[in-house]
Amino acid sequence: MRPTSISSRVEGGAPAPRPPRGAAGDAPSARVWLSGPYVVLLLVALVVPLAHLGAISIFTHHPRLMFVAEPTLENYARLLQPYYLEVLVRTLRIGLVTTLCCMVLGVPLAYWLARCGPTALGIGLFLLVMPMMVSTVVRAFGWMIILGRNGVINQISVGLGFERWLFVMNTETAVVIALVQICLPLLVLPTLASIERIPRSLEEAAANLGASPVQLFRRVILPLAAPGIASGAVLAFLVAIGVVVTPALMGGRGSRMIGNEIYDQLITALNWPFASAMAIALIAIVLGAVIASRAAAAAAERFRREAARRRASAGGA
Amino acid sequence: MHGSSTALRVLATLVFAFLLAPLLVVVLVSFSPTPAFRIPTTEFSLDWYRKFFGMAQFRDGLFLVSLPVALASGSLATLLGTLAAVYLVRSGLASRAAMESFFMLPLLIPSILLGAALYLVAARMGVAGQAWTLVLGHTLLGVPYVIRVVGAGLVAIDPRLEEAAVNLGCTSRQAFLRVVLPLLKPAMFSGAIFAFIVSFSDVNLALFVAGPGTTTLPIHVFSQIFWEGDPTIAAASALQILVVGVLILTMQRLLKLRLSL
Repeated sequence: MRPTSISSRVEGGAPAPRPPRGAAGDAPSARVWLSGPYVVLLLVALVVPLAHLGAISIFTHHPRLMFVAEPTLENYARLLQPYYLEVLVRTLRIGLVTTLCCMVLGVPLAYWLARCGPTALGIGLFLLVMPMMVSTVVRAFGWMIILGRNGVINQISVGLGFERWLFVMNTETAVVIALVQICLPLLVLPTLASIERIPRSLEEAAANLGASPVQLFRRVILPLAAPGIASGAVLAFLVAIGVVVTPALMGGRGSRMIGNEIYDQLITALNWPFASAMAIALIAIVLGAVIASRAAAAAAERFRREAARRRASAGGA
Repeated sequence: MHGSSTALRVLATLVFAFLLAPLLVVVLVSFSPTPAFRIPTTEFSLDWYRKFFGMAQFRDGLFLVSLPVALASGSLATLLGTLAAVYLVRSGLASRAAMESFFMLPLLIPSILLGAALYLVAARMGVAGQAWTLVLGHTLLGVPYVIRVVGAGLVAIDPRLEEAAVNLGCTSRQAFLRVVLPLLKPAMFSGAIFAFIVSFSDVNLALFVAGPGTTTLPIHVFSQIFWEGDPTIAAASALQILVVGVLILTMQRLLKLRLSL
């Protein structure tokens, strides 16, 4: 198997079979009515509202008219105040810690799912996708019952004759715990898809050549699954930094994230320009994360090819 | 490999327990006989379910807002998403990858931002809080799921079937409608279920877009938790888990579909 064919399989999935020439969907007129409705929705409900939000972010706040069209950078300057900088840093920290925890727990789980056989895989996917699709409010509520002052864990400990010992509610730790549960499936699914494309023969070959399980995981599985892990990690990070409900219910005053500030400024304080500026800052972070992960995946790919070429030339010599 | 595969199995079990724990306690607490958020041990009761269906706010949130909005946006997303998936897979565009990223944009942009942006537009037009803004926003969130699922289904259909139909005298449009579309139905149904659930479970977008008359069930549960309600919120949550669980199970067992996105 040449490296190029693996990489094309890892990145693009199975090559699409060519439909017959002149099949439905080929004609230019068909293209318009196939893509048209969704493109219109994207423009009306996404592109225009986001552009509108971007415009408001440089306008001046007005207590009664909401805003007046006088350009200003004041809203962005306010983001640099210590309080909001702290919120931004906290949001990034929570996002990064959550993503790291998801990787540590999720990559081995994805590997196990990829190799556990069809029945276990079916059950495993159900147990993975079902919680993922349940509302985040419900899940935050569940964590409150488990982790609260009088929660399940403390009840058990009191019932066993000890003191209450768990006091994570209303801390950043509680927010991270709930977010890891939310983001984990988002990381596992793409990782699983890329691990499944690694031929088992490759693993067997590595094992026959004396690779230990840890070596196998580090030298074969991780590099080949890197694109899936990278795209899953980005998804997990994006979801983790864009939440309102989870920190509102579990974080308390000291763990507010940028989503809470955007919500309060928009709905309660009615400062639309400042809320918009924070939203634009969040979009900038999202873009930065996507670009960083693409760059990391490309670098990993280059490194892998380089190593393969070196190994091939060493083998030929 | 055997020693490490045991360790791996233990880890997988623990991670699954972690994933399911918050759902499990919610379901258990909903059967509690007392108003405390405790897991019942000896006595079980259905009081909180009775109270749920007795309270207009909860009942209306489920039957008059959440379910209709999810049905409307799920159907709309299935229609738009299927068309867009056929477009992506079939029109051999050079710019396909760029188009695909554009089409997946609603997955990439945090939904609180979509909600905030939609709210600002709706508020300026004086239509904030109306149900159709919620439907529009939820449709947007659902379409990428439909495109993924239907696109994968479309790629998996053997192109020779369509060729055979054309060779036997069908026009290309007939071949698509009579051969490809029926084969695509399970994927479309599964995309519709995903889009329905995305709307049914959404809070991030509804938090901004929903108004007093359009409080979805999750939003109502959120405000009740905030003001420390009683285990009725556990019953409301358990009902949501039930709906999602049954739908995912249907998708997986009835349609024999692989749950992957």
